[in-house]
Amino acid sequence: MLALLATALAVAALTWWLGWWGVVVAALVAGLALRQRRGAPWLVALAAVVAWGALIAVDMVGGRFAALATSVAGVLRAPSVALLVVTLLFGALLAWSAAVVGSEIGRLVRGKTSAP
Amino acid sequence: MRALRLLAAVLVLGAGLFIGARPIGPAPALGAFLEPAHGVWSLARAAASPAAPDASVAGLGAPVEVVYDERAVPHIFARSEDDAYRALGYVVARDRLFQLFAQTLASSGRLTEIGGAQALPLDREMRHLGLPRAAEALPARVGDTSVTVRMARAYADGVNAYIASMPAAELPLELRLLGKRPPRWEPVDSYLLQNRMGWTLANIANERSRTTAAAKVGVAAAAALFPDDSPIVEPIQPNGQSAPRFDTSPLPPPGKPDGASMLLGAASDAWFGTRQLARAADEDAPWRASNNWAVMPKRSATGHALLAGDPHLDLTLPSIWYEVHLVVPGRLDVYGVTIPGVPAVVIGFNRDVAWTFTNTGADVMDFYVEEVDDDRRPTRHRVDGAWRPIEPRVEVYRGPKGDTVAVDTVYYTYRGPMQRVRDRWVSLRWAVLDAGREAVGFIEGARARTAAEFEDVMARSYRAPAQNMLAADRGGHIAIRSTGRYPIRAQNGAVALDGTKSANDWQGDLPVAKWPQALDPAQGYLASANQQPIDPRASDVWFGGDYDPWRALRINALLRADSSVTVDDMRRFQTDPGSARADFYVPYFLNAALRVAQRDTGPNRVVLAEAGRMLNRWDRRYTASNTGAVLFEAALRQAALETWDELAGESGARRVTPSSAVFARLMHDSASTWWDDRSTPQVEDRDAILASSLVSAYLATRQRYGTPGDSGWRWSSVHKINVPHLLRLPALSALGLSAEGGPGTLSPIAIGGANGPSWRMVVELGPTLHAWTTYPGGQSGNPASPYYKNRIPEWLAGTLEAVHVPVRASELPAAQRSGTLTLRPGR
Repeated sequence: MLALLATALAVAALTWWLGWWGVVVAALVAGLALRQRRGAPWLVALAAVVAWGALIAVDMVGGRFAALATSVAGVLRAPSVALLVVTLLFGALLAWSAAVVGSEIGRLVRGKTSAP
Repeated sequence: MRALRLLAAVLVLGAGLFIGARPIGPAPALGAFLEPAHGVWSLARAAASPAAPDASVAGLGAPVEVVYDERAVPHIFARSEDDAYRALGYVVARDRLFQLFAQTLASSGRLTEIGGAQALPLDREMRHLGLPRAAEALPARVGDTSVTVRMARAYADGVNAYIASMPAAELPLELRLLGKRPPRWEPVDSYLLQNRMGWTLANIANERSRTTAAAKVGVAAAAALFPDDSPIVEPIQPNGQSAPRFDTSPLPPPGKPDGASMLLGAASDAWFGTRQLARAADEDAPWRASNNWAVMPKRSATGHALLAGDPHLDLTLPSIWYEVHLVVPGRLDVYGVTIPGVPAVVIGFNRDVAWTFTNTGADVMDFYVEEVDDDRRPTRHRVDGAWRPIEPRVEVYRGPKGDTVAVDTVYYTYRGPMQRVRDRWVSLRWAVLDAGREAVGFIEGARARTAAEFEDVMARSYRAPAQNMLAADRGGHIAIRSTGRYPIRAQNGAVALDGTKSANDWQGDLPVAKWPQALDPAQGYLASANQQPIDPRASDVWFGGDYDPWRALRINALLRADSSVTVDDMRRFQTDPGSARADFYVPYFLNAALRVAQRDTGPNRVVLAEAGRMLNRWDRRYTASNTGAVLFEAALRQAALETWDELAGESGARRVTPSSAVFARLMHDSASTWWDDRSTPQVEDRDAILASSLVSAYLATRQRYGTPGDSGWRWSSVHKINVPHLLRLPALSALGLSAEGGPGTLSPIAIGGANGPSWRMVVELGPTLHAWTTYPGGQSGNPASPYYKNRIPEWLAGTLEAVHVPVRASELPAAQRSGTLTLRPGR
């Protein structure tokens, strides 16, 4: 749980700082750090969903999110729920794939450094 | 298994990075678009009032306080006018950044940069007219240190300060969709916009229609069908008469076709092709209609001068107008609307004077047939036997990715741009291309203390497009003047002139004393609604307009009948559903139905009787619930179609249609040869055509809308109003709206169209200033904002909101504020 929250915090912070690239960076690092943990990439993906969901919740604070979602959905001719799902899915996929790559890089680096 | 997972992850990551970073087709790059901190979803945060209460603006001399009231109107308190206009640039950019961007592209002929090749016809029109070139040359024309240039620079400082400091969340939705960043705002962008308004309000239709008609029915008949003088006279400059004057003389019959003047029509099409197409698409649509009127204290229930104005333009979201209040203590205190991009309040009021405009519709363009040295690549043209240089200008049109869409060379004589028209080189002289000091008029007019002073300030600076400028003041005076540049010509502009003779050039300008105008008229009120500005019996000056008398008839009737006008009357008149046009025509239809029913025993007799009964039951008001207007409109349209068959094109399609005012003149002559339907063996008269039109209209309406009198015939079901988004995106538009009013009424919103009252204002100029306003939209360009289109319901209902006009920021209590902003001097 702690790992999930910490990763979500990192994803949110880096997204705020770097934009969408922040997910990739955070997930790479998280994948590297959590490489020994079983199912770590899925945990990172979940953390990305939590982080982006929290950021969307911040966007909702002013009470204008529904109007915006309706407008954007109308322009893109897609249901607004689908757009939100796509948003979270996009972040999750980036996080999962970056975490897998991160963990493999970690294993590769550790394998090399621990070799006799 | 791990290798497979890694492979899958690399593929997913690669694909994610690719679609995240690169746009695919029309879709934006998904990464920046979707991420919730700065992407599209963050616009919901930006929908609130200013997120950053402080900002720095280069060039500011002192801090500027901006207080947004509960209608999201910014009240700008500055210590100098330059600072006030810097702040205006900032607040407009904050609320309307995409609009600034889009308008600049449209007015500079660069829409291909977002729309690709399909935008080329519009872009070519702008560039071939020479509008961008004229804007670029404006500083040289008016002086680099002039007020126009200085304020445009101050305004640009404000816009650019906002762009530089704009939080990522505030990047407009449209720019995100287009994958664009806002470019720097340059002073020339303001001049471009001013020229674009000249194009929007240009009058070109009448002479073009006349030449087309001449090729069908001869010059004399064409001149009567598309006359210089309106057949219905109710002028802006009062003529001392207490009723309109109708021309009841017979129209000359169709004559021998004369295509000699077709070059003029072709030249008009060459330069204004998209405008002509738009107009041809709906001949019945009101075209740039506007109203204004003012009453003196002697006719006002409050004992103070009252002024009302509603300029009619294309309705868009965001609106063409932005409401604002500028205060510089001891120097300026002006409230009203600005056009985003224009460093001035265009229509509005200060504490002493209120003003508003309607379009004069004056013809201030002429075409010259030039003799050039090289027909393929002209370098010189001959005038009075001597060669003069021609300036070529290469116009490059770029696509969305910077690719070259097209390249043109536009040639310029000293008169203006030149084009190849029907194997001749024709140049255009147009007052809009010489203008440039209009903003000075607005800036200095905003400081006027009396109506007369306002008119004189505008007369010194304002040139094009000519406007009927109405003003009222706190002293109880009212004034109107059709202000603009009216060139003195060797002959009127209804022909293509010989460009080899300088005698055909403009010979100076009409002096102000000869412009249509009035100050404190005996009748106690003034009104303009795009009618002929001056009684042709009172002036021999050719203004060459294309006039619409019906709204003028209605507002004059309302004002004549009311010797104690209240503020609410002023508001009510703006959406009055009564129609002088229907009042004029309906009796003719009813009489025709009666007479023809008496002499006709055919199968249509029953239908005619029923149609006549329906029309008779109609109160001639375009209310939402009435079911008669749809029948009347269909009948009138059908009658015009059957009557003007002489003007039909080769394929049977009509090319031009005389106005309903000319049709009204024909009504007085029941046996005119124009009534005859050439496709039938018998000779029809007026009553036969009107009756058959009524029958056809009734049957067609029943087929289209169902049983007569049912909800399908309700005006609110038929008459839909659209307020489209600038990019015509339905999701960001307000479509299928219903309101009272129709053709010929004071609120003549086009059927199914998007042109109508773009701003409504009523001002009472008493010891304490009171004003009420609205427009079809909202202050914000952000579709998520509560202020995006919040005013549309009140606009549809014809109601207005009282405005706040605080002398100082502290006068606006917290309960009436929606945000504050302090702009500080910066680098």
